[in-house]
Amino acid sequence: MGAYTIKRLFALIPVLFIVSIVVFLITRLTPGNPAAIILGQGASAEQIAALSKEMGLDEPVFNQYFIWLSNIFHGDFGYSYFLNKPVLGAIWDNVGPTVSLAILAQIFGVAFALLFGIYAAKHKGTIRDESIMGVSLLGISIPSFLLGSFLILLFAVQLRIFPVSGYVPLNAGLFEYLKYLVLPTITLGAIQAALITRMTRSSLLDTISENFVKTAKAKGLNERTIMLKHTLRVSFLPILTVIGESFAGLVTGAAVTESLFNIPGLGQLIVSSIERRDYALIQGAVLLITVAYVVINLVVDLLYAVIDPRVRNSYHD
Amino acid sequence: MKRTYLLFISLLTIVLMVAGCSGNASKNTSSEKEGKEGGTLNVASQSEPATLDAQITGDSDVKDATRSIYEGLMILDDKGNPKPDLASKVDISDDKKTYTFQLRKGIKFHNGKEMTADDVVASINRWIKLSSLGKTNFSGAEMTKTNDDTVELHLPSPNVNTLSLLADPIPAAAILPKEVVDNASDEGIKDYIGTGPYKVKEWKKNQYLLLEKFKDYSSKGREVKKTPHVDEIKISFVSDESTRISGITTGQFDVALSVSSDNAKQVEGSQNAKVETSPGGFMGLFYNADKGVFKDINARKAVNAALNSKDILDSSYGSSAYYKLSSSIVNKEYPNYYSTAGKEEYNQHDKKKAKEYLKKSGYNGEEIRLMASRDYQDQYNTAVVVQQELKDIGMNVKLEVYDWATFSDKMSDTNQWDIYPVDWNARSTIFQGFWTTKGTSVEKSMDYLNKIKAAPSVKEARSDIDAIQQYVWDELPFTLIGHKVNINAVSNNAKGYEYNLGPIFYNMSLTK
Repeated sequence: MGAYTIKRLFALIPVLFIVSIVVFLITRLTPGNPAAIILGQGASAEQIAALSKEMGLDEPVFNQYFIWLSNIFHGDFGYSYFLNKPVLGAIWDNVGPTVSLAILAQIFGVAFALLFGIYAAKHKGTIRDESIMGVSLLGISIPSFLLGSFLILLFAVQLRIFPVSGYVPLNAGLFEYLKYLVLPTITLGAIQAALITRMTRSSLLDTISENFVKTAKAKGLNERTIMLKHTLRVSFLPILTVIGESFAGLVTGAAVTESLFNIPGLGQLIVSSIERRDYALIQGAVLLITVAYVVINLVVDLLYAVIDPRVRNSYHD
Repeated sequence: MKRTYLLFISLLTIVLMVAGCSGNASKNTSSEKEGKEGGTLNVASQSEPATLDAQITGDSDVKDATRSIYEGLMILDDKGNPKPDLASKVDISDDKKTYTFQLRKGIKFHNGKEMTADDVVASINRWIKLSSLGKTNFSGAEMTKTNDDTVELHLPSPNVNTLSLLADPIPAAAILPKEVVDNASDEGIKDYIGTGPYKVKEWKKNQYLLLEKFKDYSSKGREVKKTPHVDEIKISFVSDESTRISGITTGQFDVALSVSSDNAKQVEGSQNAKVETSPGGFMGLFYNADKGVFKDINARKAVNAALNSKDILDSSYGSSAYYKLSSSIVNKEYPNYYSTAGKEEYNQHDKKKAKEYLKKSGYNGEEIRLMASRDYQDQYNTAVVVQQELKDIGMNVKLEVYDWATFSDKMSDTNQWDIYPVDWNARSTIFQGFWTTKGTSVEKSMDYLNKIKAAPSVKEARSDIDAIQQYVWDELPFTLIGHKVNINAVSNNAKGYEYNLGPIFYNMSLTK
């Protein structure tokens, strides 16, 4: 399994290489000069040229790419002239809110899904099952900006239970921290909750019809034990896949929610750095998010082995 | 199951009860109260300033954020007249080429140092060198020190706008400590130190700018008063408009900037905030007179004759409460430069005449690239209506939509576009600004601008002000479509909001 992990980590290199080229080319091929944007309206051509030179933008694109790449190997992801700090520092400052939001949305999604997914599977074909499936279909279909706006309107503007927008770090107190994150969590987690609910239900139903469950039933085990000890454990594999993939998606998909609730996270950082053509920051953030995405998927794959002995054994083949 | 329903019903009841309570609470806040000292004024701004160097950029978010931090020798009053601010007195030589400024005594910078003539000389000379106003209006001019309390500005030729330009907030002729100027590169200052009523406490990029009341600030003896009440001004950068609007209606923000006319109605309907409107800049349709179809004046005249300003502005701003039909570059609120010359050319919507001009221009169905940015909804809406109106007179117009960064990049290259709509910041004078836009006939306008500059006084410049306004309508470097109205939302808990070429926060106070 150790060899498998290392093999997977090595497979990361070509992926990152290709992503680095693509993101670099996209930033350079998009019109808009970062120096002109930093200096604002009324800057002279000479000022813009001087800043472009300082930023290394006067070099041929090919050279710029290799300078950037070789700097990365030295741990230097470049400098954001707009934020006036190194790219890694800027990303680090914005990671906290996104990770908080993603984890909370995931907890919300999983808790909601396990509760309602199991409930729906148990009551398959009844009105209760169909209502849960109906609501989850709505959860998948509703765009997050719409759900977010609705939540703001109801719980922040009308009922005044939660603040409209903003973010408070955890060290300001757990209550304050959660107060600002409840609505964004629901907004971001709704799709997860809906997806995982549907996956939990169908996966459980598949397993229930398998022979070993029937055997367990025949042996006279009570239903709760069968559900918790046998069915759920086997059904968990596909559910885990959805959870893993969706968590990576949460990190990358937080942009809309962050911008709606004005949360200073990675998503918002990337959106604003694209508007400002902050090349180094766009490149660095996209590259690091790719790493996060692939690593999360790797962790999910490794978790398979922990849960399912069949997968574990296949690594030795 | 029953238990679940019970739980649901009790939860619903709690939610409704909370809703009822909060409804009552919000009604109480609308009663009139006096402003008090202290507290934090929360401002929600659409975008973040790229820099806090007020001298080098004309961006309005830089101006809005820095107006409380820096001061100049002069300041504009609400009619657009320049009044002494850090200067206590100004003398102008008979040949109008030397301006002598007596400096106010005992003015302190945020770092505790007292302001001297050396600081003023260093600051103004940097502004002349780097700012768009300085470069285009004061080339060859120099500020020198006479003694510790007196400085002189020497101009190569008279400029009637000198004091107005020194008082203009965008880009501001901000007075900075000499050492800040010495340490600065042309790309920007590194320390944000001014003499204004508020100093920079923290700038958390991508989140907020926190300003703190400057304890040593004194407004004594100044003609335009600044009386800071709140302890802190927090300008949060909230790009999403609906979030700004929700924030002001719930009391999270005291001021929400850049409200669109669509959302203004929502604010007006709320009990906690009101809408403040103020004269805005003009929406103009700029022609590429360098290359292509619009090199011919008749093609420009055809477009100008075709446009229905009211229809365009209705589509861009929703209601006539949020725009003004006006043929003058400068708003009526600034009477010195307001002019109705050439107004008969404005807002003609005469298709027949337009078609005749088009025929005269020899237009042959060539594709016309109408460039627009969706980042500014009013500019985009204007472009859509303009496209339709030009199609109606037989022009083959293609709409090309970009994000703002791409748009600005393409704007500077006359090979990339034929026409585009853009709105300009409101100004109190006529100066180069929009004449320097690529594609318009800069050289021709310079003669008029120079004449205005050379006039002995603004009053005596009247005929030249009318002449340049007439020139705009005769030569059509751009077609002025109308003036927008700036809309900001201010909470009922905040007092003292003012607007002069942009919002002013330093006199505001909170009532609770």
